[in-house]
Amino acid sequence: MIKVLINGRLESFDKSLKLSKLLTLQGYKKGLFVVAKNREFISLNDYEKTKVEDGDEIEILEPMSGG
Amino acid sequence: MDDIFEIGGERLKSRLFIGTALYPSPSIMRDAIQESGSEVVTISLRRANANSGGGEKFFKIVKELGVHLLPNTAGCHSAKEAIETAKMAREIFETDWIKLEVIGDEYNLQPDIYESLKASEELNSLGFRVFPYITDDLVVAKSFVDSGCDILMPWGSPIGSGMGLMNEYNLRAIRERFPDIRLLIDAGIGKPSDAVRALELGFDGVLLNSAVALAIDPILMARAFRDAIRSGRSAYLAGMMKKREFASASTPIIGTPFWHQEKS
Repeated sequence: MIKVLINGRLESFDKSLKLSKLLTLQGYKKGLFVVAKNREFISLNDYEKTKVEDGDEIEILEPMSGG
Repeated sequence: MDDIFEIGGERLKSRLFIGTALYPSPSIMRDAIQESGSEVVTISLRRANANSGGGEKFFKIVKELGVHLLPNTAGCHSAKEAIETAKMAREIFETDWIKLEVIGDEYNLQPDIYESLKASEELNSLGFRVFPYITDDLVVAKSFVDSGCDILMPWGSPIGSGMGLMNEYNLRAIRERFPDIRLLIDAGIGKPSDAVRALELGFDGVLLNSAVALAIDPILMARAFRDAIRSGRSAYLAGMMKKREFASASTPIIGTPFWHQEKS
């Protein structure tokens, strides 16, 4: 069992997994979002090869209004 | 009068850059932006919710406006955060433009110049077109130019304060010393006359949000700012008369009636 912080919420998974898999499990299919792992940007092209492990922090962001 | 100016590799007609936050509703935001004539809007990133779709709805409205996007790094407190946010913004918004904003103090939301400068150096080296939010300090401005910026955005006054241009001397000095750098006033504009003044000082444009979004009638206020910025720019181009410490009659005295001449 691993624990991952996703947008500030602690989530559990059976074992380490690919970022692409995590996003699918969280309900993020193809859409308008960007991702950072442990506070570093992960490009869309790297979701498949990025491994998420115990203690990782994932931020999933979307467009919002701004000044 | 066509007064096109180039900034960040784009040619624009409007010198008003406008934010997308704080409007009473998305439709008022859209109408206000259209009324403003602005060709650039600021936008940001927030935590997503897979089920809400809120971000997509908002972004659809913005995209339909057909304007340039200027993503910001609002909420960042370090160079590292700002750099990563900029990279994310580049991917999702498909632009190299980034409004670099690293906050150094929560009281007045003053930018952290040291962290901003580190971020600016890195982002410029990564090919971003950096629009840095800075204080109105000449030496700070120089540091950002040295870091590779050809655009500077000194504050007029603290974000959302509506206090206008706090220190015209400093702003004039930056304009004077950097004639070839694109200068926008970012933050603090409260009313159209503040924008007029910024353009009269020779600033290339103004970036604002609260002054329009928080007006009782944001759409009408957007028009007021559109007109103000055109007016200020025209005044700058026309060349304003110098202030004088004495009166000088504007009506010609030749041919005045004798009773006027007797009194002089």
